[in-house]
Amino acid sequence: MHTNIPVIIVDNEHVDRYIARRHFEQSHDFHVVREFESGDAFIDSFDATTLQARETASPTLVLMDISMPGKDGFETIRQFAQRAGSDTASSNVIFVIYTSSSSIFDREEAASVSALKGYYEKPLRSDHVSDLLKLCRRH
Amino acid sequence: MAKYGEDQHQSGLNDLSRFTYGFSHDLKAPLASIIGLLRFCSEDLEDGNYEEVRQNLTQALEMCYRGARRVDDLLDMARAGAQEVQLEIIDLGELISGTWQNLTTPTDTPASLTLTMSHRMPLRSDQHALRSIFENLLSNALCFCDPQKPELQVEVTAETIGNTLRVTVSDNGSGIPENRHEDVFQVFRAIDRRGGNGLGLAMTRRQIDRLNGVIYFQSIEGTGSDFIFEIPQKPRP
Repeated sequence: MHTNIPVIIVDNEHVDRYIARRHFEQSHDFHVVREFESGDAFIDSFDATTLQARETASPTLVLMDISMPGKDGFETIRQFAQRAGSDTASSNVIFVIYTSSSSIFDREEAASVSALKGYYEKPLRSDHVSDLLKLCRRH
Repeated sequence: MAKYGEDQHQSGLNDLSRFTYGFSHDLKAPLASIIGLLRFCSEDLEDGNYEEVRQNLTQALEMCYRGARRVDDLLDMARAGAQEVQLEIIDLGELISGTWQNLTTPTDTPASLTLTMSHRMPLRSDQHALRSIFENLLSNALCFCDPQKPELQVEVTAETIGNTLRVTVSDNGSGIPENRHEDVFQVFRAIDRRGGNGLGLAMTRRQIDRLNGVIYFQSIEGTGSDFIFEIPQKPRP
């Protein structure tokens, strides 16, 4: 069983990062290790993220917004997956979407990205966090 | 070169769905954040954590203002398409210089403007529309200046070709990445956060539509951008 699962939040809106961070802090099962304001900044930290995933026994959870300046969330995840290739450490990274969009088009696109394991509409709630814990424990 | 003015019907339909999507997202996003913040406020009030409540209420209020500003921006855009064109004689050089002065006075950006006005005079057009067009084009040039260059240089040339006024606004700014060219005139597709709300160039295109004109651009990342618009003029009597 994994405890204290590392979380990375990628979202340009600082209020939404605060809301997510606070929920994770309250849960005691997660801790937020890094936050990024854009998909580009997240991709730039690829080595640090895979190192994080390599060094921890538990998976690393990544909450990814869709609408951000520069690369959107889907493109960011695709680039990460492409760059990761067959790196086993990257398979220890679990991506979920964290968005205010309830659009069917975004949900369909999310379903088409194989690296994505979930879709959560903002604002994050405590039942979302419980759900994410189950997701990580199944991993 | 990305050009607007052809296939406007299809483009209009795409615009409508993009507009609906962007409108929903832009109003829903702050509401979702406000809901999240107010839930915490409720918890914090019960726990007597008043400083956190104060901070989060301030944030929530700021997001309410932001939502209200978005609605105002959208109303402005709707009005831009609905008003009748009012023709009057315009001193284009004066209009551009005045707009530039208003935009540059509150900033510290080192910037120069060069005007070359060789178009046929008198110019009759819609003053409000032209002012809005230049406000957007010049403020974009200022927003997207290249910090690696000592000075932002903007050149505006106006010329008459046949019965068409052609205006070119060139800058030596940071340019637009090629993979974002198709987003430039789309609503809610701000190229990056320096440029504001993603409505400015969509509004500009709308104003140029009203004047039966076309707008297009060429841009090289790291070199700069040229925005060119052409509007028909009445033949010389």
